[in-house]
Amino acid sequence: MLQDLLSEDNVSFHYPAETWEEVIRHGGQLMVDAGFTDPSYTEAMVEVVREMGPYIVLAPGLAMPHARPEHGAKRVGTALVTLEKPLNFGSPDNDPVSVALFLCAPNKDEHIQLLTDIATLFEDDEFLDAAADFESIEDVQAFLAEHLEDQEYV
Amino acid sequence: MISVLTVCGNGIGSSLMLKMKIEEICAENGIDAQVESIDFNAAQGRKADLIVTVKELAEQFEGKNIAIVRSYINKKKITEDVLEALKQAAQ
Repeated sequence: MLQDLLSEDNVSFHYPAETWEEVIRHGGQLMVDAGFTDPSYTEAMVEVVREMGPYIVLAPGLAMPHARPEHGAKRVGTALVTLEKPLNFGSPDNDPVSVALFLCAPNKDEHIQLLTDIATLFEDDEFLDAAADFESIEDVQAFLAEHLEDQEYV
Repeated sequence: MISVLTVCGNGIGSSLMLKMKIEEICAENGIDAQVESIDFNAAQGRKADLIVTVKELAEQFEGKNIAIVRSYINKKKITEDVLEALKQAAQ
């Protein structure tokens, strides 16, 4: 499902952010432009980190910014942002972050396959290094085709 | 049948990943469990045999049966962190 949701319009490579908030706002805008979310969802993703801490940093170097469905998620969607330089999100175990894979979903059910794909990638030992070298959507799709190939579609 | 809540800030991302991992762990260990993912605020008023979350959020659940995981997605770490608590809850 991740392959189907990523296109050249919602990926961004070597983004020169200075703070975690800039990263979230950049990815949030990609999702707005792609028609996945309203701008309020971007604000909600920033608020989640301010209020609940950096638990969205799920694995070393890897963050999954997201907010609640009612904060402006229109349909299941994602965006991928890789960073020019790794940034601290405040996670004691998993900083610094160099890749953010965003998530939005309009309810608790429709994005299960997307979540499964993201979890698979975040546990893949090769993903972090490979993502640093992504230069195009073709690079992303080639990696996903190889590493998510056994995933079952729902 | 034990009831388990997995908790994160939103209830649709990290806690849902954790729910899927815990269901796998329960199935592999013969533990009959109903696992639900839920956001932090909604979890406050809920009863469950076990609540599973990360350290930052766990500190705010006083007096409840809590298991703290170091990761929402790494099955090996999750197993190390919650299997004993799941077995105890199931007894």
